[in-house]
Amino acid sequence: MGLQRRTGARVPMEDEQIVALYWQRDEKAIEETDFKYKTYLLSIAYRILNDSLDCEECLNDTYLGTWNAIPPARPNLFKAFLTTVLRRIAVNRYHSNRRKKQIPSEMTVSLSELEEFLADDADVERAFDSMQLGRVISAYLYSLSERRRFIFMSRYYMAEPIDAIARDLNVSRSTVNKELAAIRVGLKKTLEKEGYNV
Amino acid sequence: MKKEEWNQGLNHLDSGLVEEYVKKKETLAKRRAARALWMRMGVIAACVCVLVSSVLVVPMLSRQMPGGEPEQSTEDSTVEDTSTEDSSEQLIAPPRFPKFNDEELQFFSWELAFPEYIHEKNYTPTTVIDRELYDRCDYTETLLNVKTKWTFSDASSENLFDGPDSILHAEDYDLIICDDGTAVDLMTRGLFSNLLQYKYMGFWHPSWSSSLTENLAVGDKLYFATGSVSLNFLMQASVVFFNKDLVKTLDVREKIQNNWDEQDLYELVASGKWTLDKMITLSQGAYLDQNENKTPDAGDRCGFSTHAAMVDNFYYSGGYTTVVSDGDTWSIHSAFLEADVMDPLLAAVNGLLHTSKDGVLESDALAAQTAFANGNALFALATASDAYEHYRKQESLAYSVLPMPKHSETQTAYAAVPLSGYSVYGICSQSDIPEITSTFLQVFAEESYEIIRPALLDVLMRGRYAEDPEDTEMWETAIDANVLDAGRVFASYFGETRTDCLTTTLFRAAVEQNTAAWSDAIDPYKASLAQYATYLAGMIAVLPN
Repeated sequence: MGLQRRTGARVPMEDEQIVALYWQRDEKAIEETDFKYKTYLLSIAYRILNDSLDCEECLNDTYLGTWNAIPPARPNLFKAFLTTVLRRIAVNRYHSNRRKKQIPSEMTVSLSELEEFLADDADVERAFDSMQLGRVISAYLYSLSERRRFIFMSRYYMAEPIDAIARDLNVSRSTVNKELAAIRVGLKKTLEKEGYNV
Repeated sequence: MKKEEWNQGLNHLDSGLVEEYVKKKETLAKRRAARALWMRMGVIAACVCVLVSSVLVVPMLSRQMPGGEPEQSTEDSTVEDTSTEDSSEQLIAPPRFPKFNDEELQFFSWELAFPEYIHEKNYTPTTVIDRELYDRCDYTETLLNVKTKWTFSDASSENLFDGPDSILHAEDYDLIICDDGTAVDLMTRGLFSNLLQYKYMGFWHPSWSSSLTENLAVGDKLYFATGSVSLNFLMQASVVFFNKDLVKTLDVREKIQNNWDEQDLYELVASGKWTLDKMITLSQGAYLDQNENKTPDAGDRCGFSTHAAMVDNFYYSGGYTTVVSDGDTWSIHSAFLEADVMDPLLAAVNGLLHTSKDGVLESDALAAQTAFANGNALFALATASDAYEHYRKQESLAYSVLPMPKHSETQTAYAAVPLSGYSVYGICSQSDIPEITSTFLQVFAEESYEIIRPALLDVLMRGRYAEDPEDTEMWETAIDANVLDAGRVFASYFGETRTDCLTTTLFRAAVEQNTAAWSDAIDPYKASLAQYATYLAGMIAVLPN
């Protein structure tokens, strides 16, 4: 006899249906988002903040931010949309917390790898246009191979540990480290060329 | 720059980058889950083995040697003992493949259209594929701690089967790489062993053609294998090229949107609606007497172009094979014998290639390649290698591919067949280290899927593999649609003589000759086709166990 599907288990809703609920202003949208993506979103938040309470608050802010953004937004890929919203909120909280204390999170470690061209927040006065900087980094990433883009996004956008990236790609840690080093060299050159003082 | 500014900059990355990351992460997670499943099964198997041996072997040894030292093992010592004191650690993460003892494996390879291995360390690479070909072997050797020695031959089959230097007398080879036609010869001469008996061979892996074990196993034995492990298999895959500029000129998107409620060709494919009748409809009206000589020829614009060797795909794209097997009994596929299936198919294909000016059946491969390379064809049914040899070098030509269209939307999958001449891998029945060779072959194949295939697609797509996910997905879909058919691979066994090859010649000839009724093409050969079981029994009788 073949395996039988367990009956009664709750099945996550399709992303398109969840987005439709947001458009209908149905609060069930948040419930369904939470059911489907809570664990995923908390894992990202924890890598940035390393504090369970902060992560829960971030999660609630993410749901609220998504509720406010859809409509009018129509995300191409709902999971990516949630990732972006959560990261923005978590990163703001990270830097706010960091002014008060050192945060032992993977985000702190990944930022330390970039210290050859990033100064501590208190050190530099000049402020950059973050949207312009986003465009410069995006253009640089599009010039890389898909594999390198994935490694960059894993490490510096999602604050994934090196081990996890190596496991994803089925390669050794040293391979990931070598790739990251090459990416940083190219990034530094690009930022310098674009007039950033790094 | 401050760390906070950097992070805010990252918060404004292009949304496409985040989407690409999320998709890639999900794909990798699925792949890892599949790997983990097999590892878990390996662990379970290992536990069962340990249990069985502790129940059976330990009491046996204690009975044989009461109070004495355990006897020295006389087991095969080729595999290094990788056990550690901490057995629980080994169970958590067992290595998928063993380390060997620096054995040398002897490989014999025919010189094929594209090399399967770059054997000079100081070679001059012409494309990224060359570098990956070298790295693939280097990686596999290092992982398994073995060495390979490659012998290449451009000699014809006849020279190799006769005389003192015949490969049949060569007991030194462990792995043989040759084209599909030669492989059947070697198989029936007993030169290959059954690949399904080796514990490290895993035909579940996508590096192997998905149809291998289903369609090519002979009496539950598989004597040679191919798929992404073979550069030549990928090159010979049948795909439908399309000209991106002509798509705009001929308002293809508008026709799709108006008629079939999809946005473009890619959406048609993705929704499963890409069918033969739609390709014919989109080709209609494409003809233009560009050279104004009032004669349809290669200088004119057309909707569809191909050549005779590719025509078989029109049959296979219906999801059929010519031969089916239900274990030990093989038969001709019912669709191949039925006028109800074949007559409408011939009417559609002949209508496109003979009646209308919109489709052209070129006299040879080069004429068809030239027509598409010069931007004169909207669609071209050809092998992936055409992009490597011709299209990528035409800077003004913007192209991509689609899978061969299905016969109907209800069909579950797209299907095509590779053009003969691809390479296959077989383990020599005379090899005295077949387990090591088979392990090498499996790792070699998996590495091919990881590095050779992406490198090849990168070249075929003119370096856009990583940058253009839609094109990439379509290339992957079109290549993966290629399946194997025993009636095609063992074609020389279907007919009264070895050159009849009825399962490959009948349909092609019917199209070439613009035959209207399938019965006219097949009836003279029905008696011969009915003898398939006899021919096949003769083939199976000489195969090694």
